[in-house]
Amino acid sequence: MHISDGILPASVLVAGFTVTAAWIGYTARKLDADDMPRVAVMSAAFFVASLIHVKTGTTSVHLLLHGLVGIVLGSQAMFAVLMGLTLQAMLLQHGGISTLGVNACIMGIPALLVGWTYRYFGTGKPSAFRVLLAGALTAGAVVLSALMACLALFSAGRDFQIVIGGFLATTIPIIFIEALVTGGAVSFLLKVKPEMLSCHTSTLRQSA
Amino acid sequence: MHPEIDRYAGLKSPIHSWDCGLKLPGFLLLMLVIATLDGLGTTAVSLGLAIYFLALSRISIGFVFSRLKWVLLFMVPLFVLLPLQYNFGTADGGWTWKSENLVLAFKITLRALAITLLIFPMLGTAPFHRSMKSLQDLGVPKVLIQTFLFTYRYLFVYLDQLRKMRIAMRSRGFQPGFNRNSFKVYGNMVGMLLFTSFEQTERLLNAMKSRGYDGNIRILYQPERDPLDWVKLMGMLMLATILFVGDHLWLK
Repeated sequence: MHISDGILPASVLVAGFTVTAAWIGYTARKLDADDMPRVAVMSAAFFVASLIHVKTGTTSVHLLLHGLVGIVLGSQAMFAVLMGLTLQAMLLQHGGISTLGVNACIMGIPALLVGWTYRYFGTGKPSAFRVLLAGALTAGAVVLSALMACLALFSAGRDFQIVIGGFLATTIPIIFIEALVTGGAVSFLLKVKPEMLSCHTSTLRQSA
Repeated sequence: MHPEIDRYAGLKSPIHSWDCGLKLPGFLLLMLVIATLDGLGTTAVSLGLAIYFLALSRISIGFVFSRLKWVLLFMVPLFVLLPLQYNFGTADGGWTWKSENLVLAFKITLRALAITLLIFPMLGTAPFHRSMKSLQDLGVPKVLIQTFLFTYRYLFVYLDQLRKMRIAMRSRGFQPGFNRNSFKVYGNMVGMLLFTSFEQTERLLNAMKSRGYDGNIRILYQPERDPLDWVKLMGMLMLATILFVGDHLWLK
């Protein structure tokens, strides 16, 4: 789901940075010192996910976990996604520096939508429903991220049509993998630390 | 692979001695200009510049090459996928080979490699926390920098936990595959990583607060800029301007 440096036109790069900066600027005001370590934990998880490879026949894909980041952090998900992407670009040369804004939108906006929807529909519901909801929303987030990435690639020109087709084809197994792994992680967390998934970090502190 | 990028921060070179507060904006500006280049000549020059800065920084070439795999993994298929075109909705529809798109793939690869190579002299020539402090001094919101530093610190904790978990999974006979059981195991692994990390976070935050943490991270480093640092920044600005103007002239 990462778009590398050197592909997108300047206008799309600027638009990506503008949207990301606006949202980060808005949420940064609400983030206090106590929240930072928790956001950092999810940012690190998002980073490490790119190092967990799942075999799909002869090849393998890495986990994304942006759906899980959204479920745990809600409105602060974009923050964690931006941190994770920046570190992936700087430390692993995975993604790009000039495309950070666009990539943050591609991964962060679906994460935000997953977080809000999970909280709206999942709060107070039985565990089995929440696991299914988390899996379904994550599958939707992967689809949305893929569509947004395709839209960004399309802005680079019509010549990218086969690239886009290939990109969409590789996304199909990721949809299932992400849904099942996130569902599994949510199921695990609901058993051992359910408060991590149901409320904002500040509420989590009060319950600890 | 260990994601430590500042392994070569202790070397001596003109880029190592350049103050971070001026080095970061200089390199970032050059990267952003390279991202907008469209002429084949200017993109080739930008890659040459990136290689020059890399050589100047004396960072190990082997270290750099080991980290270019993601870039190359994405770029190599472009040499097939970009020239290969399908004509939709035309009478002579079907697959065609558009050779001129090989140049486009080549330009994209040059730009991506140039920007990626510049990351190493930009970030690999100073300790990571010093680069972050410089960004904070440049006006990047404090909350961003501190979360970033926390994330960087947690990375190594996570990677260590992940390594231990992989060993434990292998020792219990886990065979990864594309099946429901594997995904359940991966889900539990991710859940366990988060759970243990959150538990650690609680303890870490309490320990930091008890030592006076108030949301500000303080380090001993104080920037010492001499006139040569400004000259280097001016040189970088000139290079970026020449590339930008040259690219527009090239296109005309």
